Amino acid sequence: MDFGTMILFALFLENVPMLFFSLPLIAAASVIFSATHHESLSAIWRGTIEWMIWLIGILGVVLLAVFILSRLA
Amino acid sequence: MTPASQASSRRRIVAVSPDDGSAINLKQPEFAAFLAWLIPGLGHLYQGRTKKGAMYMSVILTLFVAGLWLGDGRVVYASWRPTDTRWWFVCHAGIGVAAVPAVVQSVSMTGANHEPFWIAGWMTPPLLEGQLVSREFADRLVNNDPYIFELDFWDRPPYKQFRADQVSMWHHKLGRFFELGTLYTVLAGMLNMLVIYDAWAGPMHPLVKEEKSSTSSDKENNQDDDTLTG
Repeated sequence: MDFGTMILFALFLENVPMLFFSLPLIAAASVIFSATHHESLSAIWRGTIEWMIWLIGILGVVLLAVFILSRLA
Repeated sequence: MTPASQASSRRRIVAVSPDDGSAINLKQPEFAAFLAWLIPGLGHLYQGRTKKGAMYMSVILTLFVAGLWLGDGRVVYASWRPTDTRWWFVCHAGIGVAAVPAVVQSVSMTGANHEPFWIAGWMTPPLLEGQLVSREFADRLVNNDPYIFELDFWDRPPYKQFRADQVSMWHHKLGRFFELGTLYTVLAGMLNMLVIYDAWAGPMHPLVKEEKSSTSSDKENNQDDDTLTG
């Protein structure tokens, strides 16, 4: 592992608490997004899972893009 | 009473559930939306959508309280001063009555007494360099805030003048948790905007699926169903 990768890995670890704190935000947003599209509770929970997958996917792609760009810079 | 006025008095505004097509009685949508702004979920409780209302209430208020906790109770304040404009408060205001103390404290601090309405300082905007405060409030800060000392104030009878910057103190003390608390509370306020819309108009329908499955005449019928006279 070269020095640059080690620095990036250390930066990632430093931000793990922030990633952890973002999970409740994603969960809450998913529940509300789903509840505004459904009325029955079972449909709301199903929708919540879908929204969580979407949001985590989108944010994960953004994080990955930032990581790749930082490697190229 | 004329038949027309009788009909209008019995007018019932309903939305259609996207799950099973059942009717949802929205009662008075504008009033429900106001209640939903006042306390998240209250509008739904008024409409009889109790489970949904309780869920909205618990999620939004938990998020807001968690944000306040992470930010040590400092992150929600109203300030429109040139050097400290708190634009985030526009989003905080979406939470309703929970953000009202911030407005009261801000107005009170800019008043003649130069002290917050609730002297404990809850949701008080931070003191800026050169700001005048009452002696009582200054003494309270010196006694209760570990970051503020007697030397941080000049004596300007009958007031005291702050000679530091409290925003910097908060950032130094809380670090990233100041932004994190702000993010939580801001998101709570913004999500409540969706809750308000849900109380006013009912659940949103997946438009793409409707376009594929229904003809234009079906759409007209669906629109007619939104407002029923019964």
